Amino acid sequence: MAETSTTVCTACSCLCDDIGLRLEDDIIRRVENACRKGSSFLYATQFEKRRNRCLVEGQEVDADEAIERAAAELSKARRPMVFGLDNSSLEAQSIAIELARRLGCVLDDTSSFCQGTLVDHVLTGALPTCTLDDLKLCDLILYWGSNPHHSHPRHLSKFTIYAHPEYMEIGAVRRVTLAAIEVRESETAVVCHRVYRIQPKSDRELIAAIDKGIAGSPTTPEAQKIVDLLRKSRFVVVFAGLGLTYSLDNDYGPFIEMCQHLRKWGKLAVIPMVGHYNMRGFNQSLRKATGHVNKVSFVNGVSHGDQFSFLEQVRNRSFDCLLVVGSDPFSSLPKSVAAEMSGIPRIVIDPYHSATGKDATVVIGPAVTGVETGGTAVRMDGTEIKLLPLLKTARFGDDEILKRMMEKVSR
Amino acid sequence: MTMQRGQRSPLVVVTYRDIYAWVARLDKNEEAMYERYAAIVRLAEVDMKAIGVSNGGKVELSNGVGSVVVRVQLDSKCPKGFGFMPMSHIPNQLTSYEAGKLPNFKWIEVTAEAVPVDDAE
Repeated sequence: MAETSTTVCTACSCLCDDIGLRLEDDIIRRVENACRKGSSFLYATQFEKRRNRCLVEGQEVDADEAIERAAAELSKARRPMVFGLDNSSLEAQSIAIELARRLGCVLDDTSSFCQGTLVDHVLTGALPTCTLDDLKLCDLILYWGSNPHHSHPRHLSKFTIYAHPEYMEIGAVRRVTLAAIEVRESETAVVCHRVYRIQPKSDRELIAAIDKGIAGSPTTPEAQKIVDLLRKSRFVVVFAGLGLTYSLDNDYGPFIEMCQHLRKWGKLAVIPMVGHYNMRGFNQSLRKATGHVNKVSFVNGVSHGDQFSFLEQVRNRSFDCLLVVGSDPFSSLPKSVAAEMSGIPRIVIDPYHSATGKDATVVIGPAVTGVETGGTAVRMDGTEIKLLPLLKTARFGDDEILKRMMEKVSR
Repeated sequence: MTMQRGQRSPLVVVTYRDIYAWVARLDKNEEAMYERYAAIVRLAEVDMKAIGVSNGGKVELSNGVGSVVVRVQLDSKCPKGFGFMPMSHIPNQLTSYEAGKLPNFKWIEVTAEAVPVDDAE
């Protein structure tokens, strides 16, 4: 008889740890508690036509041969680059960092054009933070430039407003308030108690106006409403999304100052709404190893800078061989990225077919971390979560693939 | 019946995450659904009138980078002059990046033009 076992979902950085999987003969028959995103992700592990096999120049080979060829490509490259890893376990990330060090190459992940700068500010202490478990003590939850209904679908129900011990459907006194600062009427905005609609790319102006209000100076009516809400809150948690990051173009200086000023009224914490399940893990791992969260070069010791971001490396054709782990830059970045990388050998480690994997020199289809292979990951709030794989597979995990690759690399 | 091409209107496209486009890439036999969920732009009524397109009609969005044809959805809360599109490879036919800056996923300047029904089908 089939039994339901509990696992952790790695579809997003919520890392929900209460997912029920009912298996029969190692086939998922039923998924419990997962959101639309999570259930699709879990069932997709079984759709073989979506899964990558191991290929060298389009010809199917076994994993050892693919790893051998990948190591040979990396060894002969003069300026290789390693990119991705936000969908890998901490263990695989750690091996990849060592591989990049041994290759003496540039290493970056999607956080360089995502939430890396914000995570860095949280890790350095420039922005105060808290864990999702601490939210039970807060009285204002503010989503700024994020729509968890689509990006992290269980965020409200498992961690924030609906999970809050003081939340009530109705009542004369509201003890916890849900608010959003948004450019469009998102699904999250619709359920919020307070919504502040702003024009796209006007977050910087809004922050300046809020700062004026905090200082007691006359400000815009909309900013004053936000200031009034913040003033009466004892513990504010801001979930900062890509909308805020892109509006500020990664310049979080004004936001940090505003947060410092707000702390005179009470406690405040900021949690980045990172997308990939272990992007924060990558940032933390790399910071521990090098002092930087992304955009690192191991060419001469350790150096860091915008010139080592994946996009700058692509623009300048700075690498002559690219190892991509669990990322699809050809689909998720401007189309010029694919054109600019034309002719450069690519090694792609990805459980699923992708635009980046198409026509790659080497493709290696690993086990899906969290479902078919284990490890550890870091939730968006910095909490480490042990992954609990329930399905058996003959595929190697990306940690094993990277380990074997490193053993064969001659540098 | 063939609709005539409408007026070319400037528009700023802002991308957002859409769960249905995301899962359509993973769900069994749902490849076709991906285009359905991802190839849309949400517009204000005033812009739809300016472009000459109705709800469900198609527009061509183009700029110096490329062009795409997508279906229009009326969004009564969309601010004038803006269009909202799910993040996917489709708006990435129009996006670009400058040195030291993030890609323009949240501010893509395009020209919108209604696509005659016969061209769209």
